Amino acid sequence: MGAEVVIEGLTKSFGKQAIWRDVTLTLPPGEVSVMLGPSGTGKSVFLKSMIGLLKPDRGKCVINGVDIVRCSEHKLYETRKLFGVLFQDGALFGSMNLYDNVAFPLREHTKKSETEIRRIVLEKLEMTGLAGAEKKLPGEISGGMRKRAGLARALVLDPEIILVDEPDSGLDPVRTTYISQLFLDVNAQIDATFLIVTHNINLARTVPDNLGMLFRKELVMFGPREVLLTSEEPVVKQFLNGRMDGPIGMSEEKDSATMAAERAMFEAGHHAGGVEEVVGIPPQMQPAPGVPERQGARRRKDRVMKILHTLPPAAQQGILDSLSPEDRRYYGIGEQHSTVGARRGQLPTEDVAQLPDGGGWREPQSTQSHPTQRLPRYDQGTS
Amino acid sequence: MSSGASTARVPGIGMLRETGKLFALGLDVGRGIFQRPFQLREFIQQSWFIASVTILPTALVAIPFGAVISLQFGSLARQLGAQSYTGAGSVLATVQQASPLVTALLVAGAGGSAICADIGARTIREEIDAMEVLGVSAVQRLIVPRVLACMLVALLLNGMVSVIGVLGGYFFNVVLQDGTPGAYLASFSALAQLPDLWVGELKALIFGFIAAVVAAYRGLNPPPGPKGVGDAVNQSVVITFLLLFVVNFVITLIYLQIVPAKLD
Repeated sequence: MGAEVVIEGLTKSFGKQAIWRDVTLTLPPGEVSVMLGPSGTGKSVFLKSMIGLLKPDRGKCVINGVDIVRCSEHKLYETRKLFGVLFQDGALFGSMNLYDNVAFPLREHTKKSETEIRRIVLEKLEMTGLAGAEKKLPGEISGGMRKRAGLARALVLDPEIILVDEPDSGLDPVRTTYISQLFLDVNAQIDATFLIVTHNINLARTVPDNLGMLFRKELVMFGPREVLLTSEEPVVKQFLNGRMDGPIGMSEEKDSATMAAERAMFEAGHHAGGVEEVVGIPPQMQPAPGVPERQGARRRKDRVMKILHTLPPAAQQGILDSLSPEDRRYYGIGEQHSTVGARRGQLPTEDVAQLPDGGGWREPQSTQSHPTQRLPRYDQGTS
Repeated sequence: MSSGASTARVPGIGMLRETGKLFALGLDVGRGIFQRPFQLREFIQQSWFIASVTILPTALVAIPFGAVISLQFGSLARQLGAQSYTGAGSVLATVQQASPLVTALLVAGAGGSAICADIGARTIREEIDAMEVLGVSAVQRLIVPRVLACMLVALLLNGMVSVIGVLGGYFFNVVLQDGTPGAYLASFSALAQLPDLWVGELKALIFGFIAAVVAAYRGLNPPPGPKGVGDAVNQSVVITFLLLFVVNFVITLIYLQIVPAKLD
């Protein structure tokens, strides 16, 4: 099972310029989360702070009981081995071919024999659709291939947390969807916690379990995808629709005067951009057939049902609508709630509160080879 | 990194901060040298690379350098009527001062700039970040082998420059200034002593270390953008040269205080 990441009050600034303040969120183990935000809101900085590449000014980022912000260097390097990070351009080592790139973490951190390394590397390359390209240098392949190779390298140590920086940059919509599918399949197979930073709306609407958004130097919201997708928040709506009409401006946020002037312009008939109104909660993408069920999705359902009564009504409705008949029986929710508007806004809290306890959903015993079993790690000596 | 200039309110505080970070990297490297596993492969590759870009230019610089010292000192000695000390003076100057400096300038100019460009390019391509994230210390994996390679090559080159410089001095003294070969050779050990060679080698070691650490530091913290890497290379060479002369001055001063001059 993936590790849980608890972030509390994280604040980062460069000199006097604050990037974001007091970001508090929890990445639930094994779930896929997406962080949205306009360009320049420090999404990449956020990722880098999470793995200790940048030092936040304040706050905590706790993984398996280790606070990345304050721990010793030795602990930091140890904890980083739990991470797989996919950088924007793959960040492959330019002097090594794809095979050596993917084998690099294994050679550095494990004492596996070359034959075993070969087996793992070829498996990961196969998984990311790069079989046969292992002798190529990063300079000789396309951006999409570099990205997939970066993912293969991030996967070889069986990470518990995978961070992805803009998976769609430089990819066409089809390839973006393919790589999203790959994320979900990987998530289903190794049950790693995912955090994807992006501004691709399609990906944000269909891939994650949880959605968050950074704007105006803070975390606007973070929670189950239904919450953000049904949000009436002007920033969120503007962002999802890609319109000029709203609080997000070209450089940073607009002041009220600019906003009013623009408003008048749009009312006079100027096209505010965007194509059609993006509303509702599209069905989530699923792992490919043949891949085991996503345990994270299962755990999420339990988790979300427990906090259901705290969510806004529209999100609740969306969540209830997404339940299958078996789920409804399991959570003890009557059919009548599905009729839109029937009990809108009124929460079946009493039903939810009586969740069949005893841990809710149980991990299937011995399905698939243990995803939690870690590779034997080569300890780099005590420093 | 980018916070350096923006928070500087007191003039000079930015510079102090950079100096501090450079020093911290130097300490990290010092610690990394003793950490296992040692990157032998990288070390050998880098040593070979640095040697290959520095040997020829160093040899070519060493000959005229030795000659100039010899000529200058030769004519001075003749005016003072101390011709018999010509060899002694040029050996002393070459071994103790000229050869470590020549070595260091070339290691910094040829080797250091290459290291800085290489590390800088890796930094802006996020390779360094990727390596750190994979739980591999970039200092230990990349910088330490390069620093050691620079030190080794500087040490060896220093020996070579000393030999070539002294031979060049001998040639020009004997051929152009009508010096007597016997007197030149006989006076070798009149002023120079073995500690002079040791201090020359020690200087070369330290200069090699400084050149590599400065190059690595600028490479790891380049100004933003591809142009930044170019600027970083430029700065690394300039900073190294400045540091070298200061450090050389300090070491010479200390040496002259500690080791008594050999005058009978």
